[in-house]
Amino acid sequence: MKQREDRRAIEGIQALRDHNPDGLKTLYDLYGHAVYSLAYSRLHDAGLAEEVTQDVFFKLWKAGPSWDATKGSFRSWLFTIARHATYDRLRTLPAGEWLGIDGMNEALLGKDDPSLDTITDLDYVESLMRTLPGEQQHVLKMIVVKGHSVRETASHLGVPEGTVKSRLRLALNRLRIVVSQEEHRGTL
Amino acid sequence: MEHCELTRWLSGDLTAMEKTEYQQHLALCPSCQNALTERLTMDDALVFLEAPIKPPRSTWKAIKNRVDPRRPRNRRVSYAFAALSLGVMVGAWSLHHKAPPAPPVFATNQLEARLTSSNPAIHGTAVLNLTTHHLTVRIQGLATLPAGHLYELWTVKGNQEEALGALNLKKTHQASFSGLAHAGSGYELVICPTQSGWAARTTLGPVAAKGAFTAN
Ligand SMILES: [Zn+2]
Repeated sequence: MKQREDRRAIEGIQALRDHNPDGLKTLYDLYGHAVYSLAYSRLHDAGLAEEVTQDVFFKLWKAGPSWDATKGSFRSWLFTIARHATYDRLRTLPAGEWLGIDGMNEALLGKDDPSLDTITDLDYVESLMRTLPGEQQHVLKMIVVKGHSVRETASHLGVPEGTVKSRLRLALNRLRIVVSQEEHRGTL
Repeated sequence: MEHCELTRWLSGDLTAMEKTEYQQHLALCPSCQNALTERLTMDDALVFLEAPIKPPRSTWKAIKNRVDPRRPRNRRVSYAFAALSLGVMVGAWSLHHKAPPAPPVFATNQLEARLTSSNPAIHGTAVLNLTTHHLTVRIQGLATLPAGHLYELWTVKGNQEEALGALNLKKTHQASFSGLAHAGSGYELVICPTQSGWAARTTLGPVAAKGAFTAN
């Protein structure tokens, strides 16, 4: 599945090199959901998320042909572009409930956030995610991916909130290792 | 300070005082700032990998127009549909519905609330056990919500509002909740549709149904 995705992505990039918009459509079909979901999760606004998605793919149209495999997998590279676009857009918004988090502000999310320039190895994150016990994956998906609260998740799963919190903590501790390693590796 | 404070903050589980304390600490502590940055990266990576939300169809059309000038440019599609009012949807629930849920059996240590709405199709019952604090809610007639939205159950007394959790809504438009609630006589129960996920849930949304606890 992943191999077929990679093959299609490379076909898409080849087409971009020929200035063929169909190549961009291939990449959009593969990653449009991912870019839009990321932008939406941070901006909380369908219109803004759509703008960011357009910008990212327009950027890809121009910069895509310059991607090379030494920079890491294509989707990891695209993830970095999408994060940049999302956080840049976020900074243009009035502070307040940034990221939907009460009390989040620009100072906490400094302009030179080093993690934005680090390429996170998504393939590794994904493989590590798969090694987590099913119940931890479930909690991670409900809280981190879908943005439910601990309380909602506990109620949905029919378990105490404490159980949800401890599953989440275990899962995040396991995954944190990846990001820390990435940061030690520095900017690629 | 523990990293778990970060998780509690991000999931909105800190009290106002804990939040202030945590944020003051965060502003001064590079280690906690690192933890935040790491956590945001990780959250972003998981959202990107799972890609739970589908972009509107207008997104690709707009991109295509920008990169492929050979095609005529379309007028930008209005996004109004994306901001569809939930309040309207709740009212617009279709007319077919089944028989009302069976009335619960009352004991002396229980309080009951009848849940009603301006839409007569929506009605239900809540039973609160004052000894165990266990609350059972059954309601029917609630409209199906778009993906990423759900119904939440709140208790309200004066200006105190507390979210109890999400309702489990079935295809038959019947929904239920079973869980703990520290409520009593004089409390009102409110059901409101909300966007699950990233929306901040600090205040009540539009009301789909409500009712007050009265001694039986
Ligand atoms: Zn600290």
